[in-house]
Amino acid sequence: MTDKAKLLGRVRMYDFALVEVIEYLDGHPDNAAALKYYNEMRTAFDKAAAEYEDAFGPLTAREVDTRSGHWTWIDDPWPWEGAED
Amino acid sequence: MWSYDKRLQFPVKIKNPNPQTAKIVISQLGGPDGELGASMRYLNQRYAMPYKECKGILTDIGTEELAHMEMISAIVYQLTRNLTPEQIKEGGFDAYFVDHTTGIYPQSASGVPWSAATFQSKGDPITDLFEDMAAEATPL
Repeated sequence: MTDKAKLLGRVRMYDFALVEVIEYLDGHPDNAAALKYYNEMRTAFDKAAAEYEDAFGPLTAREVDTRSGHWTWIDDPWPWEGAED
Repeated sequence: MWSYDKRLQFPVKIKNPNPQTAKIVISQLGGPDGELGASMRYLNQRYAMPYKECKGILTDIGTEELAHMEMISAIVYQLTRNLTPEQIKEGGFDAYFVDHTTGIYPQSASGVPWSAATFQSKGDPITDLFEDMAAEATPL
């Protein structure tokens, strides 16, 4: 597995945990364990996303580094093209 | 408002094309209980929901369904890459190909285009939730 695949795997893992705990919290807004888990996953996601973006480019169009003078957001491959790992 | 992450929710990496499988999988995109319908169902029904917990759940699950839609589309896209004319015919993909080539078009496995007629939004949360259970019963 490449470093890119490993880092993106961590982004995915923490994001999926966030997606699910957010849906759980929608229905259980005062659950202390879920609130704690949310905070832990958010910290972990932010760290993993920053590491991925520093090495392999932006995950969102608002994180593009324009110093190269090129809009790297559009650079191939796109997610459905299956080369992201 | 929505934003886009340049990654799939779960990786899709298909080595060999398989038009037979693509013909079936496409129902999970644009069939009566597919991801497009699921997303539209929840995102439209949420306005009639009086409870804040459920407004949140409908919004967040309706959003997640869009990420599911992107994964299914990626599967169909990769299953139909680099097909030869023989593979298209032998795989029974010719009926789809004549209208869409290998473009991703939301339809059911039987070829019916996706339609909002596959879900309901009645302005009554209990009625809508029963309809949601019917739609989710297929994958469950």
